[in-house]
Amino acid sequence: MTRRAISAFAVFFAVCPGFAATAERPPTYCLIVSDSSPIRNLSFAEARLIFLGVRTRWPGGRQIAVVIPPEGSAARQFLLSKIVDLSDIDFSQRWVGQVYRGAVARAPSTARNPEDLRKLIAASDVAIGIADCHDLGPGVRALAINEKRPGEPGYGLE
Amino acid sequence: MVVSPVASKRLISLIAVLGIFTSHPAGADALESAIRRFVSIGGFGDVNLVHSDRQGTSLQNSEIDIYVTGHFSENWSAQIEAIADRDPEVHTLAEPLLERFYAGYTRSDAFRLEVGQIHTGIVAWNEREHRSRFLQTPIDVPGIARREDRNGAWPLHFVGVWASGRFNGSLGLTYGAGLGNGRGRERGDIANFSLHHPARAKLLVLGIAPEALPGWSFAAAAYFDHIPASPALRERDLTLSTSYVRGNQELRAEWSLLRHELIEGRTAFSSRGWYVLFSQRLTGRWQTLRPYILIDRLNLDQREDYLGGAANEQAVAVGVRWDPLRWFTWKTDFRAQNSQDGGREHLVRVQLAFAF
Repeated sequence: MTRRAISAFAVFFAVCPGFAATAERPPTYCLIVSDSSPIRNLSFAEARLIFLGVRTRWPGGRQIAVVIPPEGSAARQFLLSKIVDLSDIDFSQRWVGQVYRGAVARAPSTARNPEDLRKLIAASDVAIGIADCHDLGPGVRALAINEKRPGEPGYGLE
Repeated sequence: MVVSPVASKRLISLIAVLGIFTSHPAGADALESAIRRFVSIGGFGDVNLVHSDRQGTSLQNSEIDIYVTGHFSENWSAQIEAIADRDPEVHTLAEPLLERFYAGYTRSDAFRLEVGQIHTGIVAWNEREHRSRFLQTPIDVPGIARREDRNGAWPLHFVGVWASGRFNGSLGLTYGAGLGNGRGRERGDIANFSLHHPARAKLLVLGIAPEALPGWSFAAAAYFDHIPASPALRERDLTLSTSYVRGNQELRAEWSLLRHELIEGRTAFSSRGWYVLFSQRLTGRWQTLRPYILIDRLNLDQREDYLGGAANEQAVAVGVRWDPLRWFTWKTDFRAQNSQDGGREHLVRVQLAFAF
């Protein structure tokens, strides 16, 4: 019985290498923009200011559209703890304040799931969001942070 | 700043027009079109229950604040904000006050222009929190940020042109410069335009938020005005402020000097105010709680008639803010302050504030 179970697991992982890889690999996060975006790199400080609603425009003056992961997701937790350094309540209330002050046109769009987030960003060359680097999908690409690509030593989101 | 019934109808009409011209085009669900052209309506409200060891228990200073922002294009927008508070004498909502009403043009983060009635930046609290009690951590507005119609002494409203911005860079340099009309004949008024004095009030604000000191910001503001009171006064104010907001901690401090001089004569009046606010959001299962302490001081020059009705302040408030929902907060505090008869007054208060 044990031998059969081991064989079954071996066959399963051999047939589904993607699943095996995902299961072993913890998510690493990167900032993503549309393939059509001219932006290639941000400093970590700039990225933080964007998600805080302080920096609101791309070079050239176009408004930045911030897309955030759904509430309770690991990606959102990463955004809150590693980038903006705020609790979820403070983050939400901060954006209410930024809209009220006239500093930004609107609060971030909240994606329903990672695929929704990817589609929203892929459709707009002014959008930015955060996603698992291993699961970017078509139409989006990862930004360099402090001139470092995801996975390189010194990449700002690790 | 009180809005007459006719003006109220005009306000409503204006809001409707903003809605028509900025309504979201059907079927346009892309982020870009949503940004370029839409109208947002929001507001805040609060109810305050106060128990005083001198005056008993009462409902005080409850307000409703409504704002409408229209975005006509990527760069052009307009905002109107009105506030109605509960009249303590007749226990009904008073007539709405026009708080802000301006058109804005934003070219980049480094340049934004607003034209109309805005809040001055001479007090950083006023510029940051505006009128929302929901957004601010404590129940109180510090004495230097108290509204003119609430016996506040500092000039918080301004009609004119305001340019502001933030430069990208490691220093995080921000600026603001304004030109227009500030103080009126009475402290609660804004001066009328006059060909002889087309721009009596000038305002300059400079600030930094260095990347090397994450969470910190520092600012200085100066305000100059010619007050058409009787007798006429010259005003020169200076404010220094700092804040540290990072993680669960919030520290805000501000000091301001308000100086009036008789234009015909050598008499000068100096008033000073400052506050320190510290709060810390708890973690884990208590993360909806944010205890705070606010120390508030106001020393007004009692010789000055123009500041009549404004009172000195020497208050300490210790409380906790509870955020059970994103749009609703419950604040409770204990406050020791000067009473109207000159003694000390102790208060226990509850504020329910919400956003919509």
